[in-house]
Amino acid sequence: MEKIHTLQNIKYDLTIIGGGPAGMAAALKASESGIDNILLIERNSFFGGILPQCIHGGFGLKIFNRELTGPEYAQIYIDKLRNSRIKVMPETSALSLFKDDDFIEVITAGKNTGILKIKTKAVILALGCREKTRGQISIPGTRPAGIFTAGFVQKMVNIEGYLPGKDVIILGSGDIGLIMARRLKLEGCNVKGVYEIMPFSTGLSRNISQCLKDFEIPLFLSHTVTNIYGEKRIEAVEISETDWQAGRREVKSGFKKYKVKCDCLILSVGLIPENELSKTCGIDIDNNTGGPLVNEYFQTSAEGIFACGNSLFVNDIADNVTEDGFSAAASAIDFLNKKDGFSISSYSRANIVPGENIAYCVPQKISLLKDVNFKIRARFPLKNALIEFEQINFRQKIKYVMPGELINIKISRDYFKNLPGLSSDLQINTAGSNNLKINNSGASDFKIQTDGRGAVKKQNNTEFGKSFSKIPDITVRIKEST
Amino acid sequence: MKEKTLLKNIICISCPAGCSMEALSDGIKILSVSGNQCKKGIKFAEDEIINPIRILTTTVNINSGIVSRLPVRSKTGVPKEKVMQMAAELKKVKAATPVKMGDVILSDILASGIDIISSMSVDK
Repeated sequence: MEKIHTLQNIKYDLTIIGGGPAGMAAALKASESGIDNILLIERNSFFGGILPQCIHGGFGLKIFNRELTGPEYAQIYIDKLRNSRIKVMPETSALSLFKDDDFIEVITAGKNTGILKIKTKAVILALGCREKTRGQISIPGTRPAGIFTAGFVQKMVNIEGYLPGKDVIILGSGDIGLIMARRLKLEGCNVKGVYEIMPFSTGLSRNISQCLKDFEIPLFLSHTVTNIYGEKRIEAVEISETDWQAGRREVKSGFKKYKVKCDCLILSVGLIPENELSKTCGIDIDNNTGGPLVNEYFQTSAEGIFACGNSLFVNDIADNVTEDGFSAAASAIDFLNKKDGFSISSYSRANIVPGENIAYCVPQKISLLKDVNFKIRARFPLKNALIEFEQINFRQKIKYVMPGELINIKISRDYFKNLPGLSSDLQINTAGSNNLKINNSGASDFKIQTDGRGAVKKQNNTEFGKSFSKIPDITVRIKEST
Repeated sequence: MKEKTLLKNIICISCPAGCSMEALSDGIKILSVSGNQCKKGIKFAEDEIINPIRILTTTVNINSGIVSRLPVRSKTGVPKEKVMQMAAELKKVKAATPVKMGDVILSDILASGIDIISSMSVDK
């Protein structure tokens, strides 16, 4: 790798923003595929994103078939990065994106480079995610010191070497909360309990076992923090039992309520994909994931800008993030090589809409051009579940769905032929790099001429727009299997 | 079923699937395991009944100009009941740079025969 220090060559084929597992994977994949002119921008002085602070094990089982810690998993890719020809800009923030017809502009502010304007043909957004804070879950009470988010505590303890407090209460039983419960116990803190508003934990069962049960840390389901006490430093919290019915959770009068003393409250209450940068060039965001709306090529609504990793949706395991980084890079390479299927007109031929018991489903848009790997997040746990894609008659039984465990469903493109609105086989032919010929209803042949990057310049049959606009949304559901 | 058999519910921690297993043992060895989806589950259940082990991960002090803490792990599983004691022992350790991922930071911790290794490379 080569560090960028000056205003040298600020034109790149591919710019990757974010040097965590997704961004490193994308950069390495693109580099291995022969793209020379790659730039990787990272805000920190080191690469790896949050991996270096995730000192626990459980990484790499899928990709390396052995259990690694976060820093070890990161080190493998950092070493590869060092031996690559990828240009890197650490200690640099990408401030804004601008999309023109022929190029994308990235404005960066860096410690060694000052303010730069970088022109690039394609961008991969690998921006990661951010933690929800007290403000986002509206806990009443005073505003003392000693209230932290779990990921921040992880950084404090594992990177900086400070403890957040001694008598610790953790709100939220997601994986980070569970892992920090164990971590603080190992450092000698008194972890008084993990409180979860829902009647189930969204953390992996292995983490409940190895982080809480092993260390006799109590888990209180259907409990939440409803008040914070203390002037300068937090002194206690009020814990209330919650009622959970028909998808609503609330604190009811008559339910148990009590005070627990503590000097530290740690919030592990969810993550939100980071997309402030994506919004600077008007990329469409999905309200369900908090990430960009993408199709199966990881293509966002802005042509040539791809998204992957936790900035697309919050993943459970780093291996999946790495794999999506590879896939997004493969798409970006095809786009740069002007391969077929990358016309922005195919970005969204059909929409996937979340229905019953679906928090989100990615991709949210499909081009109908290839098989699709859907990643689905359930809202509630369900035994003997059936996943159904309406309109294409796809059904798959699943023994057990959990909100904490992403569901992977692969659907062959053959299923999309069942879509109402497509009267016969959808055929895509290319008569040359700039011509995409689509044969839809058999009755009408139409040809689209592109500018070589996929933007439609001319189409000789106006039926095109109509043909695809007839395709209804595909609703995904999780139901009880009967 | 004989009097001495023991049924234990075990959550397998070998991978994120986290299989909920039932292990039947006579207190010394495993008689049967159910609920596992792969071979790792059987091995884990055996260990869990006879000698429960865990990978210990923590950080140690380091004399580096770049980082404040060095993440470390036990090379193999350590006895579960020794985890807290070993974590306390590692608070006394100060690693020296340069260190490569996999370097032994503390060998044979508490005479367990298990080495503590670095999870990260630090140049200086």
